[in-house]
Amino acid sequence: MIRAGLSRHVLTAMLFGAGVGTIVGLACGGGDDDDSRPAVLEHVARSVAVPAFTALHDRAEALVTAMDALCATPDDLALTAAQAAWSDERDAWARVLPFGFGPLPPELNALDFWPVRVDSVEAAVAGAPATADAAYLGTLGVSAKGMPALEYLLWGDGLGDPLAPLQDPRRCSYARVLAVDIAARTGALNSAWTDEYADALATAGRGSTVYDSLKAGVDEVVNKSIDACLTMVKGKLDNPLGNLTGAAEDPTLMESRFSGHTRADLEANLAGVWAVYHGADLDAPAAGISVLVQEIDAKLDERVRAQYARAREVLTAVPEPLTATLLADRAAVQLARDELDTFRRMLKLDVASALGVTLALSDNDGD
Amino acid sequence: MSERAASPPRSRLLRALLAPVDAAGLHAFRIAFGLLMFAGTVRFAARGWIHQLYVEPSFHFKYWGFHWLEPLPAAGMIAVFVALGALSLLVAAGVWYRPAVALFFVLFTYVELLDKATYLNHYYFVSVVALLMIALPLQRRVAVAPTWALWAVRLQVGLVYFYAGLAKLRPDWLLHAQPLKLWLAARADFPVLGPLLRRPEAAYAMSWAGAAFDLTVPFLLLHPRTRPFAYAGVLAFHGLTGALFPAIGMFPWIMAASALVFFPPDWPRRLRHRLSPRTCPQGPVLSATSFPARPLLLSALALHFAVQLALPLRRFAYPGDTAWTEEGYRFAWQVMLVEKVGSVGYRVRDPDSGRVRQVDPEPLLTAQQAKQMAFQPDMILEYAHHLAAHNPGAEVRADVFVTYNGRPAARLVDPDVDLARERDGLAPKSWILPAPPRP
Repeated sequence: MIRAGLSRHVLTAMLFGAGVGTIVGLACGGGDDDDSRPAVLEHVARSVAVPAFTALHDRAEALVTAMDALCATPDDLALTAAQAAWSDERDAWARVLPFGFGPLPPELNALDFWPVRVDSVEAAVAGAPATADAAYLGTLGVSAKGMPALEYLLWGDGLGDPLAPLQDPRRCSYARVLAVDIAARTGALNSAWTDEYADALATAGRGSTVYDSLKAGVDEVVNKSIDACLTMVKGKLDNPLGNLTGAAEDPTLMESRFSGHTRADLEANLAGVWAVYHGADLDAPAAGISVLVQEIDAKLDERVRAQYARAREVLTAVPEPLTATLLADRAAVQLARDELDTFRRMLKLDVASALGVTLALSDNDGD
Repeated sequence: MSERAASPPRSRLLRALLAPVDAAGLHAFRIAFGLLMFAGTVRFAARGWIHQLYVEPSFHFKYWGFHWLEPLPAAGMIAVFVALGALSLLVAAGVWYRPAVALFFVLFTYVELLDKATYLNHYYFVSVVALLMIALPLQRRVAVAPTWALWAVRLQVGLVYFYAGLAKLRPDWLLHAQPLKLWLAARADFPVLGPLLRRPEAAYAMSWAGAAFDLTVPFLLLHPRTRPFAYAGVLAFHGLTGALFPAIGMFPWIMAASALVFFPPDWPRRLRHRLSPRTCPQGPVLSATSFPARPLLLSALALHFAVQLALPLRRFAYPGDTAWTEEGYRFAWQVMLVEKVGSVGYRVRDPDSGRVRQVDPEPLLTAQQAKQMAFQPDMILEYAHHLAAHNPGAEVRADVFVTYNGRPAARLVDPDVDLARERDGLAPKSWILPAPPRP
């Protein structure tokens, strides 16, 4: 009896050991090499985010140079150059929209407060010293600074010649100090990403000071891309379309309405999100989030790509300036909005779900 | 013929149920329940959930039939949770046991009924067990209890496992290993097992093992030979799910503690003797005298279990895939069966002006409410009624897209139906669209 019982226990122990051994063997047969997430986060952090923030700062420096030239020689040529520099900077800014985490949120309002409050900007100009400086700017609220305020000063309200007011040295000096402030803030953002935050994201779950797991890193990146799309749809299009109030269309609620850069901003936003999804090099194989989606559901990746192409095509077809098109051909703007929303929904529902980003279990207990 | 053999089966069963058993195991259950409820209450408060879930929201999703129930002001809700903590300790101590557990049941259930968005199967389990415990004679000094008390708890715990297993017998779970395939792939960095979890075979193995475990564990726990292995399985199962899915919070602890009732009623005494041989292994003398039959109490218990048996089965009365429609889904032990994410937008049309405006409910709700209502039709309907109440005469339609266990997102609600005109109730909702097929 004892021998039989002992044999049974030995057999049970052997089976248990074999089971555990199999599991550990199978588990160890895989390894980090099988997990694409580290490479994807590395790519998004170092090949997408860092170059995007570097471009943002470099172009801000170029904008300062252009503003110096404009204030030194306020003529049409210098104004056109300054406007082009602003547009370049705006394009770079729109591309960092999906990186609305880490160092960016505290700077968001100071860099991009819109719709522009013309009264606030005019009051700031009127109260400015002959040579505006950072100290004066520091006394003002966000509604009087940032890229949209500078856009207003460079283009005016569309009713008159934008150059004439800028020939007032006080006004040009104020515009210049706005550019300097933008350069300082984007410089700090670039340093934060280059020196620290890219490492934090790239090493998620492997020593990162911010993200304690790979999942946390992927969650951040995917969620902020979804947020970026939500900003495009709800913040930038639903408001001027009157969708949220049932009111008539209102072009004054459009982004970059003075420069006629509204559609360009949206295109750059979409390009920024796509760089996170596909990867930095559009002609190279996917290196971004798409890699993870393909591994789980290749057909979903195809659907995302098709919807991105569709949204881009429809958006690009809307004539700029969007402020005019909104009134002349509302349906075209609404269609662009709807296609962007479908793209957003695909990221929020299908992609996030496939990647386990939005778990059914919330931050409250779940079962 | 002996008297026992001559007795009709019903009275034999009754005699067996009224026979005395050592109450030590039930006391251990009471103590564990009380302490876990205390820990859960402290944890709930410490995480700021009293304010987040019951004080801050300006809107609550009410249960059908409980629209009259309102949260108390902040101080009142805090007082409720302080009381729940104190009552938990009284239950654990067995002091003023019956009034304490009765009041605990009332307050806990009140909190759970305040908002559908906070529904969890294990909160429901706590309410049901607390209700059952009111009937149990578990005061501190009670040494023996009637057999029915032990079996009532065993049956209640067993029903949870069995129905949870029954709910897993569906194609998504068994044939497609969903939603585990999605959830496990996201845990590839889990220590040691991580790389294994990425493999589809792991999701299939865990799906089948999970279903088999739930369906059989109550029976394996009853049998003395299989009980130690079954309980080791309980610990392993809940330990693994707790580690893989930390968000399930107290659930593994509650179930692991509850499953101890399947051990012999004197197991705490035996354990204490094994750990400290000087202690007496003998329990109280179990007299031959049965506990008195209390028809009212036994009838109430019979009714309780009839409801417990029937409620999970009501989902079969609804058409379609109830994991998609969520009809008959709550109070039915449908545990960890779906990965759903939804997106809801309302269109509110003023019939006089013809103006249509879009309403995104997300910014108007808490994150938990927004997440839950995005894929639960009765909550979508309730919010439509809320919008209609603030826009008298308005038509309210909804664009709802939901992804369900890896299927491409599909519409959940007929976008042409004016939800303001649809009534809530227990009848099937014709405006819920069928579940999308798996591609």
